[in-house]
Amino acid sequence: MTARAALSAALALALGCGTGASPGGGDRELPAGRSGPYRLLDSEELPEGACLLRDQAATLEDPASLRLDVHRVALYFTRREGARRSIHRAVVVDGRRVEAASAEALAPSLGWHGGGVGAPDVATTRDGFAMLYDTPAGLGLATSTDGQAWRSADGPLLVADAAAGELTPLRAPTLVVRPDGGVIVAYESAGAIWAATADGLTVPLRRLDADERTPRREALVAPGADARDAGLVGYASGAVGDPTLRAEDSLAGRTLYRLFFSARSAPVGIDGGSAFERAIGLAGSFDGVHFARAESAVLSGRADPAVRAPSAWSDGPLRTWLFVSGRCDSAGRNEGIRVAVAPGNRRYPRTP
Amino acid sequence: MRALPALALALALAPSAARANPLDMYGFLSRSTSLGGAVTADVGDVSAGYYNPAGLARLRAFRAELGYLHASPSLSTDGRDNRVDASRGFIGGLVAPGRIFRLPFAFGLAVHVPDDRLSQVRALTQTQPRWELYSVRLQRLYIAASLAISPWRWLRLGAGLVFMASTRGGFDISGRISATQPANSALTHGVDADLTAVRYLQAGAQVDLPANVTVGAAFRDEFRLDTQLDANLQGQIYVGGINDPRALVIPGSYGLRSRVLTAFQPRQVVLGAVWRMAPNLRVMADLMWVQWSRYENPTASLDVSLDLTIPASVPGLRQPSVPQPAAREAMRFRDTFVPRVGMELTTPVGRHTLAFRLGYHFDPSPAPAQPGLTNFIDASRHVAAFGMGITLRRLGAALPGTVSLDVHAAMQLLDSRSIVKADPNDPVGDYLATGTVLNLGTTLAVGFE
Repeated sequence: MTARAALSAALALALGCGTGASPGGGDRELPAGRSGPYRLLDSEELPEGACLLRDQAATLEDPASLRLDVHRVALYFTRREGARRSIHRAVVVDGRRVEAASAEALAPSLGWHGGGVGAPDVATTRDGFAMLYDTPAGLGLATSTDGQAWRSADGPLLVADAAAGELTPLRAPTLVVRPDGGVIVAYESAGAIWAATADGLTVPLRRLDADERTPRREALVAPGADARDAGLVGYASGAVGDPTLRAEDSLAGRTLYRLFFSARSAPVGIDGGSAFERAIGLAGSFDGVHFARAESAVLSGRADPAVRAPSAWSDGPLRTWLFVSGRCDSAGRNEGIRVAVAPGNRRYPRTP
Repeated sequence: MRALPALALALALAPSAARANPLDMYGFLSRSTSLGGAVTADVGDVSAGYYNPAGLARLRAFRAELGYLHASPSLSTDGRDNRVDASRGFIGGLVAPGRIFRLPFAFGLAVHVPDDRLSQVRALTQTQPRWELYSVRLQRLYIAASLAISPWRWLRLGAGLVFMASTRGGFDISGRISATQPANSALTHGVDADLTAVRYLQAGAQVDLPANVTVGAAFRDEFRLDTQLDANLQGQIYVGGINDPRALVIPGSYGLRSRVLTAFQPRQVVLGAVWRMAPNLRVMADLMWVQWSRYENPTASLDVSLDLTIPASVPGLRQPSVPQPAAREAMRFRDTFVPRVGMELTTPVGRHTLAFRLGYHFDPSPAPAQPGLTNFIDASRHVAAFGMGITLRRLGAALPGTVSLDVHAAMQLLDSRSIVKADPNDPVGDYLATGTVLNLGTTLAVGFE
């Protein structure tokens, strides 16, 4: 009798263990690169129309992001009103809401600033924060201890050198500060993206050559040679610019450099005329010098033909926001800061 | 007992709904699992139906076993748990011995019935990371039917069949689609699915040698399970209302053929030995060769066709091109050798017996580095197992034989593995994979005199 009872109890216990069922799993929190594709948020997903930041009296452009914490990012951008350009700062929460009205962070206050300062990028340094920006005279450097009040250097950090392939003024600088204090600065000139490096921001920059096998200096990223590939025009076949360089250490033990950039196709014949298409491209590198460009754009210009000047911010391991310059209305009368996201397979409510 | 060979033959020849095999990963029944699976030469209970069918011939009386297995993976990439499904379900079977031509003979049935789902199929792109040897692969129903004989006292031979089901299916849609008024489309559809049986062979031998040593060998053949899905869409596309005589009508057809390798078991050859060092102590070891190199890329292969008959009256309209299927990378899995060791110590407690068991095996990962588009995640496993059992004898008239209760706990520790990509723009990028799997189970066995 005892044995029968034990047998019955064991059977009941075994049956009880198997009554629950669970949904299929194994695909949660999987690793994902930042390589998109990205999707522009629309006016149904943002509190105030298609742009995250807009100003009816001015054009807001060239955003650069600086992570503050897991939910907040400081966004530095150019405010262009007439001929005057200045750099403003706003704080964005959860990628879609501006915390407070933006404030001016750096104004053209020195003689060599000329008509203005703009296209900033900001990085954290040992002493606080460093900002690179462009002026008509060259690239400038400003420093700050709190990220809000900035002090500009007395002269340009780097000016164009035609002998080094920089045939137009340098613009849209971006920087990465390595853990050892060394810096990599990338910038745009003559429709390509170039780079320079130094052991710190207080010592002169050395120009980098992305391919030392050739006699002339090669750009980090240049317009593609695939201008006419099987009848299709490559997304970066015309020009590249507005770089944003970021370094990321993977748990696999490598540093990956990601370079987001504006891309412009070679002119395409349309209805007897010609036009080009804009897109956002991505190039990656494991050494910060030799970059491989992604085959396709990470954000196409179909939804917004004015999209350019990307800056990425990840608020977690699996999601990346991409702040870009773009149109705030369909006619393009007002341009501001838009935001795209990857993965782009879900829609967001208007209120974060 | 004469009916048993006929029953076994019938089971072997009949189509069955049984499917693939989670037992390679977690073991079968508590005693064998807690010995690290190193039981090819030693097995002599219902688990012989999986480990070595020859072991069935050790039994001289009917034996039935029922247990439960719960394996709970905690597998992560970059430190985040990927929530891989647990494998859990009932395990058990029976052994019915007898004599045939005066030779000891036994029929065995071994079953694993998952209680979450009987089978699972997922068609993922090759770029999507997945724990290739876990997850879907372990959500299977398993049924094995085996026969064993002992032509001499020192030799046992066994063979059996394991049953799988292959799925072929399709659906057809026909009718009229209005491109301008989709709600007015008129479509009919039909679904046709077919389950066909797949069988594979397993066989084994055990040879008793002098000095209390037994050696064994087992063979499990390869099987592959394909899921094929065909879709055909046939009809007319109306630009305009479907009842509008002025609407532009474009007849056409769209075909999609998909083939997915939903399950694969590599061919396995195992050699093992057991040494009964003392009446109450035995140690055992196995070495298993696993032919993973024949594993094909399991991601879906697609063949898409589109055929539209565009009227000549619409010269500007052209048939859109269909996307070309993405090239699938070769798997390049490697054959592996899996060493296993186990030890069992028994001690009498009155007329009953208490057993303590330890086991270990190292299972090298067959998955190669994944520098390209594929993300078949896996890492080498160290599996340490522990188990206990009690065998009660002569419990009364209702149970004149034995009742055994065994429990096991096995922990898989996966090596940390860095997956580094050749392309810095890889859509997934570098990541670090690691994890553990806790495998718990119990088995209740009833042996008759």
